[in-house]
Amino acid sequence: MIVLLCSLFAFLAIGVPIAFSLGLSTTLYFIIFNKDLLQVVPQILFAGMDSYTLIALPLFILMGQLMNESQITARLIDYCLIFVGKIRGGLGLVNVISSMLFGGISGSSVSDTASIGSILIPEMKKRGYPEEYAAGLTVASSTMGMIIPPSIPMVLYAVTAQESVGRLFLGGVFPGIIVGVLQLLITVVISNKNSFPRENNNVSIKKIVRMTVKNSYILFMPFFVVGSVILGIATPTESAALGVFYALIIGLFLIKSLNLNRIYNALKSSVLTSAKIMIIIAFSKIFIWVLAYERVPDELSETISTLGLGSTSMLLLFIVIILISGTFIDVSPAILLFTPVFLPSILELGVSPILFGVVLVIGLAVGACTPPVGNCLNVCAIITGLSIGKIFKGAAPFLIANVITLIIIVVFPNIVIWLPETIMK
Amino acid sequence: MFSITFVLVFLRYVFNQSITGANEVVTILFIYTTAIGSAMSIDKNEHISIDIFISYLSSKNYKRIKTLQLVLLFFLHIIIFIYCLDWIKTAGGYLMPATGLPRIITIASIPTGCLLSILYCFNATKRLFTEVGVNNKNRT
Repeated sequence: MIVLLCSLFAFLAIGVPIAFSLGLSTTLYFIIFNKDLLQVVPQILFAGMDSYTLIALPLFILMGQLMNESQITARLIDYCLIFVGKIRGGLGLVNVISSMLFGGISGSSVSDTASIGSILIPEMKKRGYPEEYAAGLTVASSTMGMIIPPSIPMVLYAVTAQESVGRLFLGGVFPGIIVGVLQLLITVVISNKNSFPRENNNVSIKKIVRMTVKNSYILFMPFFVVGSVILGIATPTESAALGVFYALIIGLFLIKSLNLNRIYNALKSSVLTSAKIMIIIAFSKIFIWVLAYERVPDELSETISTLGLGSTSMLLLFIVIILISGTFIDVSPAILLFTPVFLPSILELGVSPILFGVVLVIGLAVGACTPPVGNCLNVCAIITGLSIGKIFKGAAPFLIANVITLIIIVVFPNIVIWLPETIMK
Repeated sequence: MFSITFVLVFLRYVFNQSITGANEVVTILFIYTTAIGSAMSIDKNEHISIDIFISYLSSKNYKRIKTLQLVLLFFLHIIIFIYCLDWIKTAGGYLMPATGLPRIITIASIPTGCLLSILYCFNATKRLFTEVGVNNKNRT
């Protein structure tokens, strides 16, 4: 075990990609302790990719990319502006609400940061908001992309934990809304304290109705995609394919901003993105195989039971672990490594796997916004030219909303469990 | 992948029919996409990694570490390639349940991906030494 873990950390430290660090450390383990087991490496690697459900992953990524290429972001921002523009710090509120809506379309925090950030951060800066604040708010609000369904990390967790994708999607609805509402409240407080500007837009019922009708097909998308899974009309993979079809219809015929070049870009980008995630999944299977071979989850489970912790205190301890490790490790590999290691012991304490998945994803979403390894921070740094430290400073007050949500759902687990239990019995 | 999956849903709801083995074909495409996409990402240096520690290195040391990374990837893919050939010898002849195609068609995705990765490792190493003045702050 020491060889396995030390070599893994060494490979990671010298910048070897996470997928191959996992592969190299297990290969080294096999070479040292049992060369015959090397023959299982390609078999497990293959088994890690041989999953029909996982095909949902590249399709969800493609759906998000197509929506991005369709340039729906500006429309969503305009739409949100009519509701909250008049409130002090209105653009900040628009940022949060746009992220909530965009999260229901893209399923990814990184694309949320990129698309909303590239439009709203310059606009907020122009209107007198501190750039640090605008960047931080964009990054923190983008965490809802992972929580609000459809969510790519939730699909990943569902496949790893062999849970229902639909139940996971439903489990993320209320926590996503809570994060959003808390971030809105924090935005209002900060805006009033700093006297941020209001937007001078005329709002009328007629305008609201007109804009809602105009954007209805975009707003309907999350219901279409998530609904088709929950109602049993389609499997997660099929619902992702339907989502891609829907995104194509919107981009080609309704917004008319998609062309062959943009479709090609979306295809290329989603193939490479999904390949990067999939290869981590495949290699993590080998790593997890070794962990199981070494009885690590069993021993961890035994250790946890000797601690005598209840389910709530265990989950709170787990939150601390994911918040710390989330700063160093990316969301996908963290889900793939933590789920098989921690889930058995957590389940023994009677915790719902849906609750565990939602806690894991929300915790890791915070990690995506914290240095040194934070994908959303990196994207935002490229957009704004600000240092990662400054963006994190701006994001920190809003990330408190995520941490509070984590504590709330651990103390009141029904917030997560109730909806999936009620709709998908 | 998208087209076949979409057609499957369409056929099921509109004509109450399905295509035998279509799911298997989609899975085969998916595995090949992953294997080839992963190899391409080596070439583009786009794999997810933790670069925080090596970002502080000087250009010279950075190049050394990058070369070491590529050498390690090269050997990893060589090992997987060799053991995969053994596996193909034993399991490649079996038929897949729905399509009836020999399993070698799917399993071959692994050595294909490994070969491409090996080639891209060479390519990336070559580029590392032909690029003039690699700037620490301008790394991909």
